Amino acid sequence: MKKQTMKRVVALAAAISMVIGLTACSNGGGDAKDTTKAADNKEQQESNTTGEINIGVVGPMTGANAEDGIGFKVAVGIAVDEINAAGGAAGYKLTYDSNDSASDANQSADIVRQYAENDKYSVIIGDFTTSCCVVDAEIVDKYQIPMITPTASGSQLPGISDWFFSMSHTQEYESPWAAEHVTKDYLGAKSVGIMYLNTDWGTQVDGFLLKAYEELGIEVLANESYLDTETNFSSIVSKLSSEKPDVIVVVDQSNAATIINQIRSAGVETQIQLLGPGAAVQIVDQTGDNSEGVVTNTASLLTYDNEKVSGFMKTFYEQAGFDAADHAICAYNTVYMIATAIENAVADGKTEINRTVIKDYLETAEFDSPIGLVKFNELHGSNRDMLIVAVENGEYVVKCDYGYFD
Amino acid sequence: MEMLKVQNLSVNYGYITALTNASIEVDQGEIITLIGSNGAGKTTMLMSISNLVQKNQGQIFFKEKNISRMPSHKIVKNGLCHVPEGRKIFPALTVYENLWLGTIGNQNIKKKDVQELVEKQYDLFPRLKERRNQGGGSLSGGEQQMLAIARGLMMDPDLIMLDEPSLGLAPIVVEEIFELILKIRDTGKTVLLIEQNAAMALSIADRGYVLQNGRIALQGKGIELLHNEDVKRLYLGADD
Amino acid sequence: MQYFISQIVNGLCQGSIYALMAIGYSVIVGVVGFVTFTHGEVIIMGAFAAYYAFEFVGSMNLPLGILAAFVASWLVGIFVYKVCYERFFKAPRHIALICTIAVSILLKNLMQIVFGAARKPMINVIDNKIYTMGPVQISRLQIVIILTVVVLSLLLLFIFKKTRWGVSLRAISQDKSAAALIGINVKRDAMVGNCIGSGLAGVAGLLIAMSYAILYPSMGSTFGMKAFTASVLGGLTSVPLAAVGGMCIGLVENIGITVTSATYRDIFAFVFLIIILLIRPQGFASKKGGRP
Repeated sequence: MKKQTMKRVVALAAAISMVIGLTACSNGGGDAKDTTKAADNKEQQESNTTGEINIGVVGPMTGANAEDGIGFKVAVGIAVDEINAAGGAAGYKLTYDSNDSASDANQSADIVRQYAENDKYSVIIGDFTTSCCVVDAEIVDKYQIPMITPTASGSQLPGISDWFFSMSHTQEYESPWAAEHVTKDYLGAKSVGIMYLNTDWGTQVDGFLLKAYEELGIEVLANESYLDTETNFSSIVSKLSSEKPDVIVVVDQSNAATIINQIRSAGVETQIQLLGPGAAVQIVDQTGDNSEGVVTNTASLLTYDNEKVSGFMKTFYEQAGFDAADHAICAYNTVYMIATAIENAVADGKTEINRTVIKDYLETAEFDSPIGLVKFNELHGSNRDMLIVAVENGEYVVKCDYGYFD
Repeated sequence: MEMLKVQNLSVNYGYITALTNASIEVDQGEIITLIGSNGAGKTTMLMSISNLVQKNQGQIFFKEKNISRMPSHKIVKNGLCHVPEGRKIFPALTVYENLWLGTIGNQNIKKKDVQELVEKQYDLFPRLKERRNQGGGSLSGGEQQMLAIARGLMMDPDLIMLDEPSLGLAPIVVEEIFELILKIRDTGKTVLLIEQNAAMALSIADRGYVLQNGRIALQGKGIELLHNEDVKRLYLGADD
Repeated sequence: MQYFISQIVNGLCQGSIYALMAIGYSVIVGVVGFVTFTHGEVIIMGAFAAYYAFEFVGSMNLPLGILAAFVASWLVGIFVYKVCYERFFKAPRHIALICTIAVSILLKNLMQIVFGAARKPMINVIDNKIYTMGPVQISRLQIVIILTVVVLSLLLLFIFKKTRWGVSLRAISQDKSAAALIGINVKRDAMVGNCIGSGLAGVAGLLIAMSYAILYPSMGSTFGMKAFTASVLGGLTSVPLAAVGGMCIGLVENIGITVTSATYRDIFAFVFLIIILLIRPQGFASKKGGRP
């Protein structure tokens, strides 16, 4: 009889550990609540006069985009520490909490809803991908809490809600820019083969690229997509290279390094143009010689030589263990935009800093960031300046600076 | 020497009592048979000796060593071979591979001895030699039974326990098997035989035990039991 | 034409990796007798072990990587065996199964915590070159991968057919109680069988990482599923047929991608599985030659 009890105990332990495991990796699974609660929340929010402003951060801390989500968290932390050390935002201390959405729209929505329903939070920073933000925007619109994405660039985002802001320019702006100035002007290509990540973001970029290339008279010889769980690109590479385009355009973010490695291991020497990751240090670090000559457009060049960003980069590396990408410094800028909004509100005589006040003052905030002036346009998006860089000897070199084509 | 001694063995399966206070003894060189109807506890007895089922009570001694708590594979390696009910040869292994595995039971067998031992089995069972590269599952019932016994003999056991070797076999084959058992004993081995075919079993056994509802109801010399009135009525009358 | 041939070559390379994982899977299911859901994590564990071995030693050395991967996954196999199987042999089958699901979640999250969720590169393990023979183009990396799988498979075949201990493992997979009765230490040997299957999975993980130039903890799940699929195609317990299943899936996937798009990779693999099982429920295995 002792063996029976033992079996039951072990089975119970296994079941419990499974339950713990399941809940541990799906943070923020809240209950579905009635949306009428949103209205009650607003009233409570109006009377928030504590000396603290709490920020809810949501981003992918696990999965394919883990580095970017962790980058959000670390960058927000750096900005918050800096601002608090200087006395806070007009005397208000900033605090933040972060949660993992794993780039899953459902998880992201759960987390955002939890923040929105908790009076403690005045503003949300996140998510990383367009697919998550589209769902989140609906929620923050209902609950009336401002949310700023440092990175999502889907063209449906600007104007999606009065309460939603994006620090990134849209693909409607970036893709044609890249097609015209990088592919045509800088590389002089007459034909391209495109491979793109099959997500909301990637599909949009691809759509804008195809339209732009048609208008520019550049032949698209191949156009291949793949899922974000894909790890083996050899078949796509074979397909693209067999068409012999002048340039292979890779529309991706986290997989860029892998794709470059696989293209070169397959012996394909074609010129590679990246669209998406900007001048990410990971790409250079993880590809060895393979990335030599790769070209991309980027809104910022984060290297240790650039004095304006090197301080941030050093602190970021110490805390995260890897180098900051453009996405991270955008998250850093986002906190400063919030702080600027708070300072402007206080200067205008506002005594309560609640969700509505923050939203209103974000619209007019301006911040002179390490990577240029940051402000929102009428649709709550941004138009960022860009430059073209190429990889030479394992480092990014600026080929066409800001304003080169104006 | 006392080869096997089972003392006061009791075994339960949940609420079902399979054996109660059963005791048997087997001396070296004997053929001992255990007879009884279905469910009487015969297979349970062998399973307990091999420690494949839990005992409630009782001790088992093999070659005067207490094996009551010994792990099954160690019991085998002490020289006790158990050929189970239903033959249980390995169907997707060839005849040769089945025999080869039989040597696992005896760690003193060296690689070079294997071939010799296999040839010995082929002498005893010419039909196995014919089929030596065939899968075990493709053999007939009788051939599988021979293979099971041959596999058991490969380890050169001191005691070989056979559970219902005649089950489901044609009468001619059954006779062959029983002659074989005698031959085995003549090579110096001890045999514990479980059988439904009480007549055949008692006719070759030195001594026998009768199991009824988990208890030893009768014991005695083979010939005596063969002529015992109760035995005749219960176990011998029904045989064709 | 050349493009089609290079897809076939890609398919063979991918197929051999799947084959190795499926072989490992079949050994485990056959010898231990339980279906497992930890295979994906065991696969990636091997890749990480090789990665850190390379870091520790400071250079890339393929035999070292293979050894590290095999040993690390062997050890994980011991852990899985002791937690999920050892106590549950006589319990209803679903208990062990659920246990493996729990362990797989545990391992995946543990790896994310310890190794970090970020991607790690795996490049330059061997000096890569492209060889062209007529219309066929194949890289040294692909050759090495295919060869490694072939060598390991032959080694396994030798063990299973020509050594008594290997034959006894096959016996365990056919009938555990009969095996116990002829003196086989079933508990210990079943664990060793589990560890061999796990070790092979670990090496497959290293080959995956080399082939894709990348590794990260959550990569494992898809591969676990593909290994299971290939093994099912082979009838679950047959090692050679599992290898065939793996090869087929690799080829079908790659040819499918050729005519459509990489987005449909998994769809091709699993539709192939469904079709085969509809026509032949036992997969590639023949109807007889099982338990009597």
